[in-house]
Amino acid sequence: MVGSTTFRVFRSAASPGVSPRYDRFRVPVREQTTVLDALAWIQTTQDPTLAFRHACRVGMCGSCAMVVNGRERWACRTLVSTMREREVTVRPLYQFPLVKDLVVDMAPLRERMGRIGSALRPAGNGRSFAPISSDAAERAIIDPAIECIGCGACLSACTMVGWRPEFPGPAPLLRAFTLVEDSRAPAPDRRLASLLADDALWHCHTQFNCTAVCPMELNPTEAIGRLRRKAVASLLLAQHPLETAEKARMQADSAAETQFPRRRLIHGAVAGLAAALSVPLAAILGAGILGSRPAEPQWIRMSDLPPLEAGRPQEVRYEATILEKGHRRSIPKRAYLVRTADRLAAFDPQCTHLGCATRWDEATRLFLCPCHGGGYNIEGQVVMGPPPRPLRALEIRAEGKDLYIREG
Amino acid sequence: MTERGEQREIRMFRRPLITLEGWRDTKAGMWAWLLVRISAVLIVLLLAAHLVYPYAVSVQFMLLLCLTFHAVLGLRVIMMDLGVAVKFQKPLFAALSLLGLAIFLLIWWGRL
Repeated sequence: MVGSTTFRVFRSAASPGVSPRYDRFRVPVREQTTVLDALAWIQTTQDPTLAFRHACRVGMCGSCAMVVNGRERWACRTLVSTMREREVTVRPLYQFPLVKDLVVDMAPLRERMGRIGSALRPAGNGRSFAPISSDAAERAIIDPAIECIGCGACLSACTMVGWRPEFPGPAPLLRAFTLVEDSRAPAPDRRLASLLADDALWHCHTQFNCTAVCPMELNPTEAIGRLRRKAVASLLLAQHPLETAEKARMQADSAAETQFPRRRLIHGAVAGLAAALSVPLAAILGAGILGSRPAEPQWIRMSDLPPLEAGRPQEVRYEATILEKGHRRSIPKRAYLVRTADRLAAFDPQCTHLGCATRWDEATRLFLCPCHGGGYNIEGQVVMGPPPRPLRALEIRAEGKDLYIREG
Repeated sequence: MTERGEQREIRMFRRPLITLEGWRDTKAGMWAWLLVRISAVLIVLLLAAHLVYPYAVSVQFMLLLCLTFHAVLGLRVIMMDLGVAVKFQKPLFAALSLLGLAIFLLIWWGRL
């Protein structure tokens, strides 16, 4: 089956200052045609100046890693027929310095590997490597992680490698993980301590981009997680790594502070936001805790009162202003006016037990509470049931023909 | 070898943030991370809106939605940090999202 597919290929400009462009090529493809085959076809038949890198063509050397349709892949292991899109877009790896077209300089990977001490320097005299038997426990941990061939796809896929040059990145940290687990490598604690610097382990945001693109199906994100837990454990268990880590952290911090005022900006922004949010939050929460309470004391005038008979409580209704969760609101209120032989009084009919509304009952001559059988006499004193206190007496004031009740 | 001595411009490309090309292959783990961050920012804004308009149903709806997703995906973050089910982060993302949706609908329909 022969068809054809359009390739959009990234081309760097020959002269500096000119922005790169994409060239389109119509390429004949068969079912087994790889992206690398297509690029070779373009180079031999269409444009001999197209630059790309490859060596083994069978997925062993890792030199043909590039971004195909948005994802880092090996050109030699990517079949054109598996591409869902009609066009195949090919561009060089991100985060690596561009050399030409699809070729990038892999030096940053070497440099990052060196930074974490990627070479195995065995403890002791270094002349004899102690063999580790194939059924050793550490082999089971290390083996799945040791297959990295350094193609750089994970560094290109990782967002943090781009934003933070100090971050070693997925492949180097995966390598560090295998060394920490390796009993032949000396001083895993020391290695962990250096990894505890701000810009090493902690800059992984567990986005799993590296794991998603790794052609060897390795899991650097998981390795970084394991390293983190190991590093923290080493801090808790040992004394000296703490100092080393603190020193490394402080050095990294002061370097970062001069290079990245962004960090200070973010701290400031967070503090500002917190301050701005805390004002309304405190107001609302404070009001919520305080709940509703009467507003400022107010004298409420009772008008059109019928003449008050002695010994016969009279119910009055009025409106009072209260503060509820910071809002001013008027609510209906009830009170009893009571004239006895020697005085005039007013009671809040709310039961002092659990706050139910009591009512004057003429038959028993008591204020009765319907909830738990509380009863108060005409003086407001408790005569039966659970109420702990007499009815609350309200302050009243007579002025001429008008009567005022005090609220608040 | 004359080029050796010349000053060569070093050009490095970052995955573009504002073009479709940069986002065309965004993966599950990346979406999970992004959703946590986006919902966090939205929660701050919606919380402020909720304080000002406590009874606005649309604000309540959005706030609850953001909170449930932020919470369930936060569980995933904790699991990843503790090394729990790291190999299954993709199905975990799907399962927790469904759980979040279920919790959200339960609360939304169960409210008074």
